[in-house]
Amino acid sequence: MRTILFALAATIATPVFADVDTVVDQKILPDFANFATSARAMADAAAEDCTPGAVVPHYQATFDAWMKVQHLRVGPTEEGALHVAFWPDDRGFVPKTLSGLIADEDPVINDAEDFATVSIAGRGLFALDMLLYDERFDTYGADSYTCDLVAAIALDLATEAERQSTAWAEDYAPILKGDAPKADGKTMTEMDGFQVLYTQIISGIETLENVRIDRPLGEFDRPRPTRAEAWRSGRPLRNIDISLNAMVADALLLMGSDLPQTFGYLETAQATLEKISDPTLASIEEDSGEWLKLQILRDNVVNVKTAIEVEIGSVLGIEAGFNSADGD
Amino acid sequence: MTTRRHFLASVTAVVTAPRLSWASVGSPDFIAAAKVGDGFSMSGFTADGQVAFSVPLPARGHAGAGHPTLPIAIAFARRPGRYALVIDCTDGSVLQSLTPPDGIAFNGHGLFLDEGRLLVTVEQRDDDSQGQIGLWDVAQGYARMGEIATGGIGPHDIKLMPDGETLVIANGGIATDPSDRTKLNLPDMMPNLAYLTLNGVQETIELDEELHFNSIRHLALRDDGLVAFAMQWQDDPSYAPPLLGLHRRGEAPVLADASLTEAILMAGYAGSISFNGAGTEVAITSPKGGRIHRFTPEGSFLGAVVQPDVCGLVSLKDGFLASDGFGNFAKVSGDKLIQLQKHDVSWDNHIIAL
Repeated sequence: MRTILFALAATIATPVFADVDTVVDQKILPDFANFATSARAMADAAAEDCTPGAVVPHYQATFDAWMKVQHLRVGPTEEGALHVAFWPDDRGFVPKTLSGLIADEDPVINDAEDFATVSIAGRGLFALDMLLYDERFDTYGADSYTCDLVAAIALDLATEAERQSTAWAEDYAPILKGDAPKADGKTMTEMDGFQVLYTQIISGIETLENVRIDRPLGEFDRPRPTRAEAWRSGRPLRNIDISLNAMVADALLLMGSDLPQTFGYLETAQATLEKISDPTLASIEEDSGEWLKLQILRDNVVNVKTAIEVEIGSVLGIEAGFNSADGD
Repeated sequence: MTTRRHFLASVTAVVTAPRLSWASVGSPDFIAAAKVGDGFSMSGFTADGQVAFSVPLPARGHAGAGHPTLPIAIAFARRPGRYALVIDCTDGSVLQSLTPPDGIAFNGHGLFLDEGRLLVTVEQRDDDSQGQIGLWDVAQGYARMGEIATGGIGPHDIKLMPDGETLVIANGGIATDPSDRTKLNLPDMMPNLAYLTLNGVQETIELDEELHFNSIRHLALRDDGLVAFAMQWQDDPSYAPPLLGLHRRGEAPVLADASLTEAILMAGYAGSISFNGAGTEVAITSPKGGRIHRFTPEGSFLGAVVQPDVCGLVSLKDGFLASDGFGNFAKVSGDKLIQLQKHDVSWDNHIIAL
């Protein structure tokens, strides 16, 4: 009797195994490698032909690859994430920086090391989004300064993506998995690594909700579709879709067990996503039905987050940061 | 039957009798509130991060005020607070619970003045969030003496200027619902930094209209009267606003920007602020960004030090002491972070020097 009870208690106490190694090796590192490969392919293509027609397909593919890892803002990508994706940009740093470079025909683009001194607002995916899609810039010809600028940005992005991928694989993954010490000489336990990745997933979903959805959603009588992420390049809905799925996939591998509630809510969110007809979200301005669908999607995303908190966080007794969650 | 006079006299005796000093509770240098399991506490600790004493609190505290000589601390409830507790740090007993007048709430900060004879509490009115400081006579059993308007809405932190007479107050500018902290006036908010004496407000300093979302909330003071203020941006953090300001009376305030990347990583939020012991650096913490930003006293950015969920910050002789929600105390010296002690608590927003 005693043995049975003990066995039962043991099952209840450890129904799951935190699996940092699996999520790092099978998902995070391949996703970063894929991002680096896509960015390099864009740089190579732009070196051949920097006009929008040649670069756009690679830009879209690289952005897709980035959305699978953009929530991992820790270790080598804590600051690096802004280098890849400088957004939101309400103060217009991106167009200001790019216009400045173009007006001066700044020779900084001729050398990769020099280009690395340009403000992050003039680099990465959002600089490309502006140059390839905004009507102030996108009519440039093959012999223009802007065309060379596109190639320089693509090259700089490829270098950064490769740095991130390599630094994750060689430096940070061993630390997260407890195979190498941190900077302070201490080694992470399985729970430490789990906590780091769990925090990234939860804050990634919060950003999805509070930034990617809330910014365009605005208010019912004042939707703001041009506050959506990468609206110029038609990516707002796709970015939400890819990142939500990527974060839930990370959560599943991290937990190493089924997350029935989380998956239930993910399916609901997916169904809502498919009902929104305009990938740019521009339609929410005129069509209140579309606006409401985005509002419902927001609720679905909140449910996914809550389910992850219940199915992972509360099971393992993890709480979000005390001060960061509730300051004064 | 105890007469009122008699009762006050006996309370006075308890509160002011110089029977024990801070040495009797392990000579702490600092106090801070914390969450311990499901409960809350206030602890005193030394500059090397050793806890000297720990006493339970009935609810989550925010900041505190330590009596300059007696081992007595005031634990302020979180804003909007309906009580402040006078705590005997030798045994954790609550000597007294202070209640603000009807229609008034404590706002989380306060300090002792006049060698501990006067307690000042930062307060706001429930109906319009207008700020005031409450004055309490310590020797008379913390009898309420009166109040002075702070010249702004939603005041938060307070410090005494080196002249020993002027108080500097961060009027955060945010009107809140008295029941639930809901922010009521963000589109129109206009914080200020106010200097006041017991005669009333002497001067208020406002930032440019463009920065009206920047709630001035916490203060640090250098011996020569240089005031540093930490801000919390109440709009989209992607604006990357300056979160540190410096002010010297008679001059225009100086706003200190970090690099663009670092400014964005702070997430529009500075939780605590301090000068280092030498007065050669001033730093702000962002628990949301998990980083400490160091600046020169002229406002030039020196760099970031990374520590997840860091919030509390106070001067050490040779740097800063920082606390976080994972129970760590760490020393910041130049661009180095040295872990001191980890305790099994979550340190709350602030560290107060005794």
